[in-house]
Amino acid sequence: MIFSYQMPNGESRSIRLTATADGTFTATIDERVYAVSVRRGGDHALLLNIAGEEISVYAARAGNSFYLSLDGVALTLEKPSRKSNRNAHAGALDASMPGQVIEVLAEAGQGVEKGQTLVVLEAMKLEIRIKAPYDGTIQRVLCEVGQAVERGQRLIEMGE
Amino acid sequence: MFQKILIANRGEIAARIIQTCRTMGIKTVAVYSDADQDALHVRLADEAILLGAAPSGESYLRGDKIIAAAQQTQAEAIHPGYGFLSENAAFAEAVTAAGLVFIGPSASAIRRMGSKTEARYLMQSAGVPVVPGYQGDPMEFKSEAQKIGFPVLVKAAAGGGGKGMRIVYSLPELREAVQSAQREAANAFGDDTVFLERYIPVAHHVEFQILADQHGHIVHLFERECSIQRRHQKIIEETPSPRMTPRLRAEMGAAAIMTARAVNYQNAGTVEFIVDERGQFYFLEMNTRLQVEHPITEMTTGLDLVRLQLMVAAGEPLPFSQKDITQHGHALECRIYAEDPAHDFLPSTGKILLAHPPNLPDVRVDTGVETGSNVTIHYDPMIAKVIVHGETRQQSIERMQAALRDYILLGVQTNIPFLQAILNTEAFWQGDTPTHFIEQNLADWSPSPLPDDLQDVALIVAALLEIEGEGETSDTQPPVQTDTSAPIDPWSRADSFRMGGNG
Repeated sequence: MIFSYQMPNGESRSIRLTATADGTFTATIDERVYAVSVRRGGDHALLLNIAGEEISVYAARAGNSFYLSLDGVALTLEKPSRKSNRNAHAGALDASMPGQVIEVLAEAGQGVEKGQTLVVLEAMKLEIRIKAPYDGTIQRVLCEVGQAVERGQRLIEMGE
Repeated sequence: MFQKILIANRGEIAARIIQTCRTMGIKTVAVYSDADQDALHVRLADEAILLGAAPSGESYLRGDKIIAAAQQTQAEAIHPGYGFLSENAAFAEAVTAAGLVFIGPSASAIRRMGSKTEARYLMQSAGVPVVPGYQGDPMEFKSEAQKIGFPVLVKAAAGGGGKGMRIVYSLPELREAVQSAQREAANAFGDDTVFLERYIPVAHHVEFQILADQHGHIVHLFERECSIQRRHQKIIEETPSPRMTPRLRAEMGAAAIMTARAVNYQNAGTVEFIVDERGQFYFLEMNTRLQVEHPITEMTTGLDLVRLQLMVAAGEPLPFSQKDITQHGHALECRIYAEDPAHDFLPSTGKILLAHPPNLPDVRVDTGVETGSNVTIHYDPMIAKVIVHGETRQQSIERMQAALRDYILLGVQTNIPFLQAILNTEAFWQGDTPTHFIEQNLADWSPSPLPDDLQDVALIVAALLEIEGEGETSDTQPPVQTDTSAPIDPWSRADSFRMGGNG
């Protein structure tokens, strides 16, 4: 089976992983082929043998996020989700962090200037301002005060 | 000594206070919000009372509900921890009025030191040096700022933790900085009063721990260097301060005790100073509570500050005098924040799928999260503190590096890579840590790219998790299947692995 992930640097990478008859796996990444065997410890711990080299890792999945700790290095891979294929354009303003909307300073049809604060989000005692990236008109306001939003959730749509 | 106390806090500090109570045979009552139902501190306490919905304003800041919880459970005293209501004079008064003991100083001391402007006046009268500044009518800010000389710091009178604070480099920036600081202060502290101070660009933030009993004895427990800060939030602290001399320590220690005496202080507190390039120190503020970084003092002095707080609050005299207090070796603390270092340290929320703290000699971890805990948007992003002790500063740095490498936290992003970067800088090793350390050494830092060989390992691990169907929820995509040759399923073999993740 082929799996694709978004790496921490944003690049998309693929791997073909197939199970073999003796309970091990064959992994193919680009032109590289590895023989892989895995033993599970407790608590999300895996001891891998990849092409003869042993490496101890911790790994857990939540939804489309894969949280890994490889030899003390923490990283997260993401499965490309449906959302990332949505129309991303300069006027699509998304929440840069999870949080609560504490102010909405724009309404549909309003003309705004570049740099004008449109929405204020709050999380963990940090306030951030979502600002208009250019002079334009607000097309849609997709959030309201008091609403809890996720990272990446669309808040405002401005005209192109 | 108290039979039962209530801890009016959450997270790591609540857990830490409960632990000392357990060693003293004192029963504990925890309070919690909806978001903390399954939290560690709730589990550790003997009893727990639900306060309300997740937002602090409906739970941990509801002094009335907290006092009611103490009365309901017949707790005799309330420990406020840090943050929340710990420096709220009205709360301290209400606790006392309800016939309970507030584990901390008097409401009057809290009030006087809580106003940064009044504290400055007090210190000036007591002869303790303060940073040159102006704390009067905002209409005069423009002319006063010019007298102080730029850069000028605008600070919230009711503030702390960098909130309501702005550095102003030139006059045209002053008005907006003042308005912005006032607004942040109003939101964070309910008081928009701000004042001006000269900004000392090359400085060390050095604070002294003090402890006072109800019988007039006041001691200091040496200093802590807190200069490694990002956006005015401390992230690494250490003791002793690499820049301290015995003479400066004696002078500052005496000034700290004088500060505490000026308000008839009782219980634990911290006097913060700023030390400039020439070794001149100035009073900054006094924190009338136990501080986040208190464990480094505990590691070098061998004392349990929470235990001492309880003893003092129960009316006992301090069990030692100044000359009995000594410090040994070096201690470092790193604060672990649920923040994404790859995205400007914005908050990272989620369920902690695995919390596996380091288990090494002379390494202590104070944490409020465990496997399964939820990190939400409602509270401070600090989820743990790693504290190490070493015979020398060098040894403690090496120990901290090992501890951070071993700390596994899956489920949220953390600032651990950034902490590691700081500990790897030459300047840090040299003890050259003024408050602008991060701007000076790591302004352009971003997380290192993953080495190529680990990239392949990462892909293999993720694919293995997926092929097993671990952690699938209704949001997950089914794997993209293009290869339909069906091999023998290795997972159906009777074998010694344990199937299935915790999900």
